[in-house]
Amino acid sequence: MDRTEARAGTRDSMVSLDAWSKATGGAKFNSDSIEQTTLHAALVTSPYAHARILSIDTSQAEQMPGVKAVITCQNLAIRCGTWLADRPILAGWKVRYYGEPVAAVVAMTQHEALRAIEAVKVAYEPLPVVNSIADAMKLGAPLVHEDLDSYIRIKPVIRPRPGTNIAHHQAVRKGDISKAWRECDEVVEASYSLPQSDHAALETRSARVELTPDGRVNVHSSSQGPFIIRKNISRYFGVDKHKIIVTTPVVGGSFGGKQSVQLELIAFLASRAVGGQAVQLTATREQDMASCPVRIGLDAHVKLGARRDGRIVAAEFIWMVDSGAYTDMAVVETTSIAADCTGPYAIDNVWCDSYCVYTNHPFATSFRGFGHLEYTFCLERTMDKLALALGMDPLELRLANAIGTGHTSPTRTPVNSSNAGSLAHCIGRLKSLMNWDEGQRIEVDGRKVRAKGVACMWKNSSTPPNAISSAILKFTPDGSLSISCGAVDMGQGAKTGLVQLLAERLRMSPDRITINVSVNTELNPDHWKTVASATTYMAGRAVLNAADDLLAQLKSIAGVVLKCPEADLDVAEEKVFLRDHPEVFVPFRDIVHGYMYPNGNSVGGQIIGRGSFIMRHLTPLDEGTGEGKPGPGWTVGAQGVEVEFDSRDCTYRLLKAVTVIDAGRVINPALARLVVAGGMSMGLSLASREALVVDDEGRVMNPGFRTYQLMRYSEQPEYVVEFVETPNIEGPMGARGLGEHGIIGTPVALANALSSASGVDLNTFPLTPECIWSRRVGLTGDSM
Amino acid sequence: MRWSMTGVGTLILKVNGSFKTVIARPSDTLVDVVRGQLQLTGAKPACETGDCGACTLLVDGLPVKACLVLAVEAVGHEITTIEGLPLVPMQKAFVDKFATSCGYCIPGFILNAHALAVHHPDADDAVIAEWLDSNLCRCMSYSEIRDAVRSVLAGEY
Amino acid sequence: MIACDFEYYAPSSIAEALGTYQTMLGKGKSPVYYAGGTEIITMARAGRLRTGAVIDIKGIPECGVFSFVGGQLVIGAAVTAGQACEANAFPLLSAVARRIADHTCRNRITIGGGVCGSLPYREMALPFLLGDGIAVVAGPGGTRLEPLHRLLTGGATLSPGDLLVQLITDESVLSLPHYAVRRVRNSGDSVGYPLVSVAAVKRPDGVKVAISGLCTFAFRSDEIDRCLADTGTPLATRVEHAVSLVPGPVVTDLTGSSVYRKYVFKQVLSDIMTELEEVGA
Ligand SMILES: Cc1cc2nc3c(=O)[nH]c(=O)nc-3n(C[C@H](O)[C@H](O)[C@H](O)COP(=O)(O)OP(=O)(O)OC[C@H]3O[C@@H](n4cnc5c(N)ncnc54)[C@H](O)[C@@H]3O)c2cc1C
Ligand code: FES
Ligand code: FES
Repeated sequence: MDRTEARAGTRDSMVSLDAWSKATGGAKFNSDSIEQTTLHAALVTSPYAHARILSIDTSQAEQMPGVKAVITCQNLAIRCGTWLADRPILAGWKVRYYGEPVAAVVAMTQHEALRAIEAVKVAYEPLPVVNSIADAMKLGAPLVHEDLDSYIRIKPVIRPRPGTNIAHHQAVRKGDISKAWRECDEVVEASYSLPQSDHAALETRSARVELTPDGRVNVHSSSQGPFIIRKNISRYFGVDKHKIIVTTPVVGGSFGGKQSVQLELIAFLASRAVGGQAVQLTATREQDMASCPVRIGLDAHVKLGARRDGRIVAAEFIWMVDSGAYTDMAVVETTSIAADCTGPYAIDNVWCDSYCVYTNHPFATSFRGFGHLEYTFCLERTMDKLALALGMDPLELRLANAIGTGHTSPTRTPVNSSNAGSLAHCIGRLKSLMNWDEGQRIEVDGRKVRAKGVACMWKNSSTPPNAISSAILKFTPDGSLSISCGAVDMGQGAKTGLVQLLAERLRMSPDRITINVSVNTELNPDHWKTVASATTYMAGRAVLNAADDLLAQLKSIAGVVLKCPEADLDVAEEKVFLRDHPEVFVPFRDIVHGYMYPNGNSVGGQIIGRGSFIMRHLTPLDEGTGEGKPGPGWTVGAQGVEVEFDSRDCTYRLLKAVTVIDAGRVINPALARLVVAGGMSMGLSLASREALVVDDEGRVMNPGFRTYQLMRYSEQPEYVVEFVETPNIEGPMGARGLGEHGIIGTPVALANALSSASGVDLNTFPLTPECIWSRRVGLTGDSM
Repeated sequence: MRWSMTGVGTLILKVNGSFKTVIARPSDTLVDVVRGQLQLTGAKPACETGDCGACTLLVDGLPVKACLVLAVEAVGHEITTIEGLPLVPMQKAFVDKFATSCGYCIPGFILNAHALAVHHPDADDAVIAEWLDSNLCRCMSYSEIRDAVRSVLAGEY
Repeated sequence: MIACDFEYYAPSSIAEALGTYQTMLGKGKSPVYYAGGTEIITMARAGRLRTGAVIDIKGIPECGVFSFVGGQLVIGAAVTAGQACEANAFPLLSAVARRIADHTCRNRITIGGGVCGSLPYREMALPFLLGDGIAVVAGPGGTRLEPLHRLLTGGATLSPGDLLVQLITDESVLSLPHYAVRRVRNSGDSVGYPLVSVAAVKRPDGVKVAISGLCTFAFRSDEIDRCLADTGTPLATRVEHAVSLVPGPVVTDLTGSSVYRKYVFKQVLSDIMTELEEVGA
């Protein structure tokens, strides 16, 4: 039994279940199985960031070889969104961002579709462009949405302000802020501006839709939310949910970007226009970056006040999220930023206003970290400034304010070691892993310095209060079994973790358990969506519940077979046995598809375990005070980056990146490290080079990997990932979510390191050498 | 004239050791054709501008970006796709070192790294970096890939 | 996917290539010579290049040579950057070529494509500019030899229909002390277009530089070389002066602003001068 447990343990670094299929080219992504008969759609996109559409002439395109249909939405009233229905499926009377889809051509082949899009003639009348948050917030600013008033509010918690570019506002009021300022010995404040950037998952988004004569809608999508697609198609097109079958195969990265429902709706219209034939729509890289949703931008003002001993007593935040042309998930992120605005620090007096602002930029959706990397950047830069003002060590300042049992969150949720782990412990480990005591800034020679920056972070899951996840466990006749669940595999390893959890609970080998790779809304039980690092937590709980159901059934039938009370039975190694006489047992294979007595009579049947999970006791935030419970708990961590900075060139080398996270319980250490280091790497890439560059007209200048550059192999630092394990009583086997956390504090740790190295206050990214240089010489820089 | 192709026509390509007939336009790229006609979908289009390496294939044993090669140019050359690798050590190393996350970049990385191991079995870190800088991975930190490649070059497989 | 259609021709001789070009021109097909294809495919996909016929020159024997002939290194236009680096007969060329695009792309990018391409950088030309390279050009009027720098900086540009067949470099150039520095938008040696890319050789009469990235063209400038050779003047002053001699506006683009480019250019020049002035000094 010990041997099995060693093999089955969640402590094991079991190789991802699909690793071999990915290493041999066998793994099928959404665009890998297109049938010859499938039609192809291509998008006509807007060359303007803001313009009235005067006319769309499709007549010439319709005559082109191979063209089956050209669709537009000028006469379609449907608007979609997450909290607010503000986005047409294709632009209606005006375009609101560069790259916005305006029309789609459906043709026999992809090249015919591509050729015909050039023949679609769209006449525009340019409108003044809202090209920044500052532009958007000006009195009398041009409006991105004139008719904000009339939009359907899908969730009542949305609070748009018609007549302005403000789509949503969330306040947090905690304690007595004016009194608190008077108690401060030191007050620091600073403003920040972070540009939008892109998810840049290597697989571009794609969708394929077919409408069958019997009224079914078959959707194949690269989405991380197949059940959300089903919900959207049902809502917008009035199709019953059971007739909408969404399939998501292996997904080639998503990072939050593939939960918006966009191409699926266009492909639906396209298929409908050609009598229901299957239509494939795959975004080009350029469209994936400019036409499909991006990461939010953020403008912020942060003010922190502390007593001489470093205790922060007052904090004031203004967050302005650049949501671009439509709100999608940016409104939810706006709220999520407010909910966690203090970072993992115990601050009793908080005044926070979080705004979601429309601009004529590409629209934004969730991105790994869900608003946290952006606000953490501003908060943790200010923490370093506060440390400087107080003459305190930056890590000591963070430790002195670390949140823990007895404190409350900004939304007044009581914090304890189960729901928030131990930040202090993480800081302690970080300190030694960064070799902090040697100093933060070390001169290497006349030109080069080695410098370190740190940051702390936390993140709640921000799920809807009724988010669900379910699992079905099904035995094969030989006692092996399969998990059926609705969570999507995007490389995060969560599904391998589910197999390990189940193996551990059933005390059997994970080799005898499989899990569905692709998700099909008809075959698999529902899972809200694969986001918010909540898969392990939610699907894990569902799987464990299903395992308990399975165990009860196993014992029930084994009790009959072994003629004993169920309570006397135990389960391991695919056997049900007498607790005190393990040699008396019945193997799974004899009972899981019914038990047959020697005379041929049979009882029981196939054993199927079912488990369901729903979030408990979550409440939306109060409009005026922010009081509420946005998620089941936080994952906390401390992060650091070390660089070698060349003070002449303002170039730098990334030496080392460290993350210590309180994971509660690590399930599969190698996969946990993989996903955290991946997040850190993305954070370094983002902070060192990534931004969507828009020109004066709001046009995206760098959609494509030539000019929107990602970090490459040779630029990687050494990655150090460590876990602290303060169990989360509610988590599966004590585990917390991990998927997003590696990225959150990394960008600001880099900015803190470079600020310290260069002696220049770096309040933005990307931190290119030119950015540092231009701040050093006092230029704003005229590069595009 | 060695030869010419003036419109849609058939091409005979040698892919993974056997001859395949495909129908292509002269302006079809190699990645379009191996995916669309031969269902060899291990080659992934991810940028189609030569920047990401997800479409990497081997032509006469050397890595090329199949989005920047016309199918017609590949006639007379040996094309190897990930599906045609006879389970080489590099694949096992990628699996063992956890160097697969979403997997989209992996076929390209493996083909490139495999070619490196064949051409430069004694490559040092600088040569490894020169070769592998041709491929992007958005999920991982590249350190897993580095471990996989180093382990193959160190003869661990 | 490339939306447009074009015809594909693979001639086996220079004459055939030139003939095909003229025939296609006559048919209104706006033909292009096709070497590595990396630029042609990228531009055709983006709809920025319309052509009805590509003429693949890789099967022309003269375009594939890489050999020493009578004290001269002859490199065919269709030789890839990868092959040139691997052979390493021209160390400065290897040093420059190995920084263009990435290793896998260099298995396709050709020497000729790098010199004739339409991007402003043309870094591949820098070593040949410094080596007083001679271009073998085949055109409707026959084959001629042109100093490469005249092809690139005004004078006798490559006219439509001209095929760059080979580049000839005097053997004596190959062993000159050299240095190449390239800086991109991001830190380190990462792949990307150059902010500034400077190649340099040291000749008896001083250091010569060839520059890409700074302006909309790659160039050599006698004024800059003369200014740098004036060893009586402190280096910082020479470098400062050299910037003022740049023969065109300094570019602002996604890679960097013109002020920053100039700043980086100065550093790169001083590094090069420091490195090369010491050699043999
Ligand atoms: C990922 C990537 C990164 C890049 N980064 C850089 C960089 O950092 N710096 C840089 O300088 N460039 C860079 N480039 C551009 C690259 O240099 C060009 O794509 C390449 O030089 C073109 O060479 P080719 O052989 O593929 O030419 P092709 O695409 O075949 O041709 C390019 C042009 O040259 C003409 N031509 C080619 N050969 C001849 C000939 N023999 N005679 C007459 N005309 C000819 C063609 O008609 C065409 O107009 C990059 C390209 C890629 C794909
Ligand atoms: S798709 Fe070919 S390099 Fe990206
Ligand atoms: S594993 Fe997803 S891009 Fe590399």
